[in-house]
Amino acid sequence: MLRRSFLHNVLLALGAISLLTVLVFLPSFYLLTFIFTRWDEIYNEIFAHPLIGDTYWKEIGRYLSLSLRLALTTILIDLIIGVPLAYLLSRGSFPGKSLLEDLTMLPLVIPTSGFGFATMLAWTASYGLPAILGFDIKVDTLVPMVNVPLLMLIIHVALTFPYVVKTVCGALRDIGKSYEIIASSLGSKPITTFRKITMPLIVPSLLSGLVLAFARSLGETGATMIVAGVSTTAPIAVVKWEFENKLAPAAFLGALLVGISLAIIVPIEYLASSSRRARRLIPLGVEVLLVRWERKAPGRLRLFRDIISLLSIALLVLLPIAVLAYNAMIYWRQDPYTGRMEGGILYQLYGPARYIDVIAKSMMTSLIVSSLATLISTYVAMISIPVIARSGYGRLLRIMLKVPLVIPTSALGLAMILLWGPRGLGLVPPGLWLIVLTHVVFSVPVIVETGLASYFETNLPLYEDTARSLGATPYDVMETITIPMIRRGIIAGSLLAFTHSLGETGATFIVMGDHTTVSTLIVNLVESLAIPASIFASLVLILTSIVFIVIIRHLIE
Amino acid sequence: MPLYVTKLCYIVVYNKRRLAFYPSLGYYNHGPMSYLEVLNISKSYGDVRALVDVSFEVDEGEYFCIVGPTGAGKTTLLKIIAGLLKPDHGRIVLDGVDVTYMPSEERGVAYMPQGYALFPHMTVWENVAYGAAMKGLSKERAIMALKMVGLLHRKNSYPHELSGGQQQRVALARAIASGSRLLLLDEPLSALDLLLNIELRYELRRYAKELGLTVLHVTHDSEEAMSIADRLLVLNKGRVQQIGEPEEVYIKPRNLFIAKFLGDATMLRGRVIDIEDDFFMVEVEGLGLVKVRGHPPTKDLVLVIRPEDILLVDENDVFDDNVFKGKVRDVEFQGVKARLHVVVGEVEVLLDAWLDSGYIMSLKGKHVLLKMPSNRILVYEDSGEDLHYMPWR
Repeated sequence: MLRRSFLHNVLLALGAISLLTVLVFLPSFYLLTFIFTRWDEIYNEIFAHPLIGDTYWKEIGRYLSLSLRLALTTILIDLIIGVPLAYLLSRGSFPGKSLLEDLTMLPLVIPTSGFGFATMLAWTASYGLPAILGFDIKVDTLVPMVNVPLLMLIIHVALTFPYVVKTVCGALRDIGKSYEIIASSLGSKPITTFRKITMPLIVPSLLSGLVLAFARSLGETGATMIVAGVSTTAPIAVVKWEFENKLAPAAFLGALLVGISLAIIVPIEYLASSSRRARRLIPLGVEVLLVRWERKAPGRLRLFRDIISLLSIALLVLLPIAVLAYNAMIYWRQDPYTGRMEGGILYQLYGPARYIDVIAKSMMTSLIVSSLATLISTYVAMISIPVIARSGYGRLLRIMLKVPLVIPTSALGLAMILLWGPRGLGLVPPGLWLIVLTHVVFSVPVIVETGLASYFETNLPLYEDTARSLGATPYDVMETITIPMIRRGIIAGSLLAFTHSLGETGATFIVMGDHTTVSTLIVNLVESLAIPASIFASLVLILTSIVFIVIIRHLIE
Repeated sequence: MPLYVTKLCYIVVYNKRRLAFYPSLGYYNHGPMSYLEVLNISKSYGDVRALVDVSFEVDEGEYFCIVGPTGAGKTTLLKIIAGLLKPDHGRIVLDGVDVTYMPSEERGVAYMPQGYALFPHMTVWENVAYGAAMKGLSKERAIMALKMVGLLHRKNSYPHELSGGQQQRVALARAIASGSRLLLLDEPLSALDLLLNIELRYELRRYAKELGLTVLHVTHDSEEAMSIADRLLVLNKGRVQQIGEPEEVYIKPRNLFIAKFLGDATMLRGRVIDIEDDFFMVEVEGLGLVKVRGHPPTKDLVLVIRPEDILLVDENDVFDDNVFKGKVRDVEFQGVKARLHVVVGEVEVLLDAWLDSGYIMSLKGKHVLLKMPSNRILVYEDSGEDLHYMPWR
């Protein structure tokens, strides 16, 4: 009796899975297959080139080493500033807390190229904070020990620490205050409570937050391109080689990046979801001494925590935006140093260069791309969510959907062009539609995740079962119960995806063809040294994102 | 809006409003048919056996309670009957049709889950009319159902604006309005406070009887089940323990579990020392000899005596059978009656006495005579389990 409801379920599942496969999974995993199908070509280009031997392989090693060092240093700093901040946000209550939360989440939705440009201005300009304090920071200033460019490190920390804050904050809220209250009622000092009670409970979330941050740092392209100077990270190398039409090394490096991300994420996600037991790491004797020391520890640690949190937000998020706004003001009419009108924003926008037309046109492209990508992704996500939530293989789909979130964007762009573009299936030439398709890849997981979160929050299976017994077919249930009840999650996810899409730079750069989005335009403007115009475009883009963040916040509450 | 694309595909591929037609699916013709037949249902979750060979029948218009402690498999059983879970073995026959693999929406079985699951994004009216809208029936039944539960004036409210009792009534109206002849109620009263629980119990039963509906009512509260059911089924660890009318099950519980589950009782371990024609003598450790009517099942026994069966007697009856002297340890005031905890020898006996005067309450600390009528003592085989282990408490 394989009948109606079975047919419905199969149709729904088939529809969802085929859409997900074509639009999301295929591009995400395509680069990996590329290694196997085109191995001869890769081998001859990279390892045994008749003229240059294994130069490419050495270069790949160098770029990857920089990227890995950068990512590791980044998550180390994320850990130091992220945990106190998360603790402050989830436990403290003070005026302006929600503003602080918004500021923390800003780097997640902010257009990376605009933000990278703002950070560069804030830290290197002669009137910037470091210069005032007497430090001379340039794009090629290196951090000692790890030898990574300082500016790159700053921008990576700014773009990744929200991942740590977000996951740890969520875990802290889930755990609630009761364990801490009980521990302190049993005579434990706050710092002991944190070490013995809170920390072990948040370790899984902390791990998955750090993994996300690591993968994000490994794949960051847009902002890094702006502050790169002479150093090249692996994702930038992918973009560079793609532009120089050296496909084999580009694809190989892209696949390596995807592989590294996967190899790190899958085990840690698995570990974080399965192991709940904390092991004793400190021997009991030391433990007793430690607790005794903690009892005497000054109560000023709380102050230390608050200062770290506020300072990092101020330096990493507020400062760049403030400097950008300040620059927009002083550059508005003329170059403030030479006094020449040609160096002002107004002249660049409306003068002979007519940058306003370019900016307006690319803004239009951005909006069209983001709207289309979000619309398509919302549709795909809506029919996928019930399938993922209710079917046995849903867990697998959910883990697979994490992949596009952590794939290096330039590798994704490369995969898209190799898959759909003229060298692959030849279905979609580089341009607006390929940008849309690329943005769909990472938008679907964002919407699915927020939708699933509200699906499990509202105990939907119960309502769905009830509706079924009242005579609703699986399709009716989806239309009348599931989607209306997770509507807010889907809308919030769509807006998040929209802002992501608006600010995406790395992948767009590769697939855009003749079209230009605002975020890629900023990179071009910076590279062509049209600083006033890029200041203006960055500010417009960042302000648009801030408006969206306010809307998202409003919707979530 | 993009959903309509999918919808169109569905309608093209499958006309969903088409009436269900089930050819050649064993129609059962064995004598007078029961409305619902549950036949040898088994269900496991991994290693956990939720239901083991459960069979019972329910007649049309019957109010049938399924009672058992938490984790007995009650909800699993309801979900299988509702078509929301598939059994591993066994069949469900509804009105002569095998519906075991029929999807839930075609069975005509309204399921009301614990907590009611009123759709929070719909008004009371939209909730109640949901079934009718989905099945393409007229809305009149929904109006009738809302009127019946007395909530027509709240039809534009949202569920969260209603009180617990009102929510329960709306959920009931929604189930009634769906046109289903069989209602499956999962703990419909457990979220309500005791007074409302008792009030709504009789209301539930009255609606069902007025409309001639068949109801399966699941509860963990044996008192609730006994006061409302035409017949009840006791379920434990996925197995049917006993089926029967409440009185029958209460007076003659088939095993020690049911006796313990259905109400408080004094439980005593003993050993048979003498068997006569229609009675036998049991020696209870710490108490003495107890005379019991009937025939002993085995040598080692557990005796169960309900508190209301034990009588307080005066000096005149001191030579009757099973009269013991004890000291009242505590008196619990329970409204019209009082519960006495009496220490007799080394055991504690529970007994209920009517509070017709202040006399009972003043018994605390005093010595009393009590009698265990030999025909009211339940006897079970002693399997060695802890008599006071009642995990459902």
